[in-house]
Amino acid sequence: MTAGTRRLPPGRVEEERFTILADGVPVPAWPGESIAAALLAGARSPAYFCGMGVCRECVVVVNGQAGVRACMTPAAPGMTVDTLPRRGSQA
Amino acid sequence: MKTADIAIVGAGPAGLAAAGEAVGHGLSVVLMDDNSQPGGQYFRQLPHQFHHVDRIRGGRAGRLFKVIDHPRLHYLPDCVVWNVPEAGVLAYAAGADSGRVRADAIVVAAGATDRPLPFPGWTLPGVVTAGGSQNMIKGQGVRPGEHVVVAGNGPLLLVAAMTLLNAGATVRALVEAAPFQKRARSRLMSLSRSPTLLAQALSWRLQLAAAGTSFLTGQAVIEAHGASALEAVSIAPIDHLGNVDRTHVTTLRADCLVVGNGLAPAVELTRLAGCAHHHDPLLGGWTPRRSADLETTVPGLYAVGDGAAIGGMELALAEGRTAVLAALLQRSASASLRRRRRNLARRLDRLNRFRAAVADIFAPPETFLGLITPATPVCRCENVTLAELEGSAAEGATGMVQQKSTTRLSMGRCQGRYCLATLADLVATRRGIGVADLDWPRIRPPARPVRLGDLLHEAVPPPALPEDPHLPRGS
Ligand code: FES
Repeated sequence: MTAGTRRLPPGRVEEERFTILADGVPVPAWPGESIAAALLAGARSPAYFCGMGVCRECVVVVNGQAGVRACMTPAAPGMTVDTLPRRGSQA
Repeated sequence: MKTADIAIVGAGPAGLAAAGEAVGHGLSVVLMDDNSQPGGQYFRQLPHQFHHVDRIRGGRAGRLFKVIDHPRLHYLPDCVVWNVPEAGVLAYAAGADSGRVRADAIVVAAGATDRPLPFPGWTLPGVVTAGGSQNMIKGQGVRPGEHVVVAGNGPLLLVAAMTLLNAGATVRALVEAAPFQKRARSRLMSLSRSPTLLAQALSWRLQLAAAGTSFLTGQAVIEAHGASALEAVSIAPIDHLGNVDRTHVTTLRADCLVVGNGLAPAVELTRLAGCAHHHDPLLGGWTPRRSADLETTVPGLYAVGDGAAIGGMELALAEGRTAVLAALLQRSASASLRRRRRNLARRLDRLNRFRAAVADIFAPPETFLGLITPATPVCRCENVTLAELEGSAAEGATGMVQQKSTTRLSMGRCQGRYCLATLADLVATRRGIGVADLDWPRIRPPARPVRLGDLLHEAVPPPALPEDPHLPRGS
């Protein structure tokens, strides 16, 4: 597959693609990509608002560790990412 | 504890300029930054793992970045400065390297955050801040959406729209709340003092228009629609008083809505340090009181760039340099230092006048509270709606602190960054007083959330225990 329509051309080489497991679904990612970028490019509609580590809306559980900011944390091969229910949707 | 002549918080334009000035004059520097690469939001780069990417080498960004490798500079990336435990000392969390820095002078160049404002649907996935959109494109090479509406107030909207267009997105509309077109004509004169920026803005506008972007001025997004993610955006006219005309609604399909109502300086550290602040909407809200040397009311603590008062990249560079020169001049008053300081003062003056002209053109409606409906969450993190806030006010919780403690507003993960300003507007309007006169909640450390584990790495002597007369000495 290609880098996907939302990814801009420069920088990623096909051989370096790996997958992360987002809520049980394999999602492609590239070295250096943030978890949030991989989820967004993978059409997962992630919680992503400020994009600079401030709002903490993007926090996910990574390999069992809670409170990880998806916009500031690079994806890594084999990473398991669990997204949290959005507060706004619980009401 | 690390020591340095100057400790700088933030490796964006202001912090890098300050660092360059400092090492250039022989000072030792500790430079702490929350990001993994230097540049801040303005000079954000793609990840270093990306291939064939034009690294910022030449130009002014390249010159600014050189300081990172300087032998007198200790650079701490991925580092959160979370407290000012005593004068001249900063506490920071950076994994196993966490600790404290003591310095003769501290320069806070902490940058700014977006100031998005509530409207129905603003918590839907697909609604992102202008800064979030910029970072996704510039820092990750990913488009945040395909069909995008950019909306809010201020000059950054044009920048966000142009970045999206260059990234291949369709920018359906740029929605500006200020009646910009009417004003711009009469005030072209004041802007023509900076012809380069003006020409750039006009050229971007033409490029967007040619690509099909509609420019809607004097209008605002009144609702973002979608089941589980954004699908459409409704827009209506807003007048200078903030009245919304709901009889003339335009609805556009979009999978991404980029919102921005200007920026707010990140003043957590200057507040924690006990610096006096004043409230100035034109500078982004709360801003530390600063002398002409950019020193705050706490001696030896300087605040520069957008982290002190919103003014943009050029001003940030000049301010970063000025603060370091001022600190140097307190030690030795050489003629060449004084000359450089005077030249910078003239530059600051000119840039400050330009800032005022831009702020004037983009002066927003008096209020955006008319966009909030009873069911709109004002606090995103704790999902506190306008109706809940009004309910708590009706029961007697009329102050900011009371509203906060009865509703949990601002007690969530963003620590009030996106809701306290709106709460202040609501309370001030209700009581007919200015926002500066309200009981804003106190700020306590940590300035930003840090991992407990990081703090355990801090090599700090344990606190002295109070002497207990009942215990034998030495036990
Ligand atoms: S999107 Fe705001 S912290 Fe990640």
